[in-house]
Amino acid sequence: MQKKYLIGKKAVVLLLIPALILISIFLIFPAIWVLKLGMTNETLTGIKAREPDFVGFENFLRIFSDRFFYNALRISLLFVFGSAIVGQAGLGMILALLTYRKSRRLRTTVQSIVILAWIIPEVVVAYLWIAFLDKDFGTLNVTLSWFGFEKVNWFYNHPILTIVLFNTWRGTAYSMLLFSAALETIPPSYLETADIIGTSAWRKFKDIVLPNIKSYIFTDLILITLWTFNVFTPYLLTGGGPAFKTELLPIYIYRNAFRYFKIGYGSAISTVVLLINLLLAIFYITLSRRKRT
Amino acid sequence: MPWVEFVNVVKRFSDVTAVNNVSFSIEKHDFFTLLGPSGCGKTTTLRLIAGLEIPDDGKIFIADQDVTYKLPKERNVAMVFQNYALYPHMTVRENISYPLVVRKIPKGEIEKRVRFVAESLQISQLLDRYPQQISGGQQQRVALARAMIQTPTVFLLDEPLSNLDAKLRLEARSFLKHLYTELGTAVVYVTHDQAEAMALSTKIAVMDNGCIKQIGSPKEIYNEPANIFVASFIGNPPMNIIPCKISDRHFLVGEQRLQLPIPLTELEEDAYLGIRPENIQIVTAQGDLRAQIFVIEPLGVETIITFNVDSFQLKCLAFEDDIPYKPGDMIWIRFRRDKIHIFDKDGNRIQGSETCDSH
Repeated sequence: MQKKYLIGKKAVVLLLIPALILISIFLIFPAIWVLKLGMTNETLTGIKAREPDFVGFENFLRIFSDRFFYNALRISLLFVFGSAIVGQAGLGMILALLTYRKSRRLRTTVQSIVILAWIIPEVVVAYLWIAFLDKDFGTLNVTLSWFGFEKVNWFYNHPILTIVLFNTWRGTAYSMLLFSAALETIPPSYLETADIIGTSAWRKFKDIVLPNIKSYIFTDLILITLWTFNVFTPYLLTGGGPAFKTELLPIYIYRNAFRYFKIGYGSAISTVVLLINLLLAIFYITLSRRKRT
Repeated sequence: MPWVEFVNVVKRFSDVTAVNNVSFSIEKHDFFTLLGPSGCGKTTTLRLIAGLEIPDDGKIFIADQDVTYKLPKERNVAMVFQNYALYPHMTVRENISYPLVVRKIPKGEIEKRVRFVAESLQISQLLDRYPQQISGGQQQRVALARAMIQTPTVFLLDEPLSNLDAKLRLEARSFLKHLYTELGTAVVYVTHDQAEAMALSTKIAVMDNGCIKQIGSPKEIYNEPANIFVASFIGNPPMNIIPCKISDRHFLVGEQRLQLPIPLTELEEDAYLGIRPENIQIVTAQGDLRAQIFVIEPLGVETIITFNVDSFQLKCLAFEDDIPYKPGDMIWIRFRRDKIHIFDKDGNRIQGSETCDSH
């Protein structure tokens, strides 16, 4: 029997065309444009802004011998690992598990608090954190000094920790909500059966919860890894400093393209970052599609 | 000593009392069924035995131990859920052996016991498949196998047949009854299907609104229902309940006077007369009541005949091949004298009413 669809194939194509055109104009075309820009020595001002030369792969060769690139890459990877994978996904999972099978009120309260961090505009959040971590009058240092601890210059002495904590705080809501929703898809009887058998909490998580929400975890990891890799907000906190210690790849691109006006070189770095993102996505997708043994 | 015992157990969910002062005791050899309509508290009662719910009041004993506040794992029970709760990412073998793996039993021993239960449940050929690759009936057996391998004190089954289609359900019911003889310990079974309860149980507790309405063997429940609720819940079609008046030691059904003297003294004016469909006969001579046939439903072996007596509708079961009537015919009906039940105006059985036969 022929399958019945809601609308015919031709109609589907027709309806998709406007979206495809928009995606082409705003996503695919700029991506190709960046690729092309990356092979020129175009600048923002000056003579090369009007008449850029085609330089082939010269920019790319320069990137791979630039120690600032490796610095930014290292910090970005640390940042992604610390704030996205350990911080957001880890903390999000813990919060989701803590509120799972608990009263609705507790869950709503925790979720509301966590979401607050997510819905406040980025610039406001950055200033909140600057106020919170200020060396002399910041809330954290004042509180610490009440308990007899010495004041800490967070931005100066622990720059990476600072932006990792900041981004964890900022993004945990997403993972927590996603994991909470994922946990709801597990029939309660799965865990009740385990309760009756006498399964420990850890084994319940490992044997029953984890395998049943695996696909949700991978979706979450793909998204937050890519978002975190491309996030620019820490710039509002530290400006990439001190001494390039928090210069993530997007900040490194920004510095080259818009501070040093080397738009061609910046585009080349963007292309490299694009490829890294692509590799990460492919890595996760292969991992999630791996057949069970 | 009873094997499982409930003493005045109460369970509330916010402002709803799900289980209201329930007491019963189950012997080791019992197949005990909690029967009732949905929302009557039967599943909550089962979950109280399992320890998935903790009672607000009362005591629960399993095998002479007070387990009222014990964790599920300390009670040595095994439960089969309505949806079977098989883990989709584990093979049938992994599912069945999971309770033993958790309890760190040696591999060889696990292998031996899995083979044994799989054989007695006839699922040996399915061990390497995943739950979604086998049929509903097979899934149910796998769930039973996972319960059996735990060698529990009590088996708890929560409507295990309700997810199967009608034909498979009958088959699974027979199999379950056969399996029960092999289990060698008490089974507590929850269902809303009175036929399942009658077919499987050694003891039935009929529940309504969180209370037990009657406990007894299937025979007792069927032949001597304690009240109108039990009487009309058991049997298919259920018992006919006719509101009537009693005067001058006779029943008055609507305008008609039932030619049936009552040997009981101390009767109230208003009462209910109960009679099962198979105990009503259509007679050619003058019977007990005049009735008009409403509809005739032949079902093969038996025929359900519905007729009107004044403003009441009664059903009767006839087992003859040819029913020489058609809707609209006026007939006489006759009640089997020893099968009449009398309930007072609150719906409770009047003791001794089954001995109406005064001939």
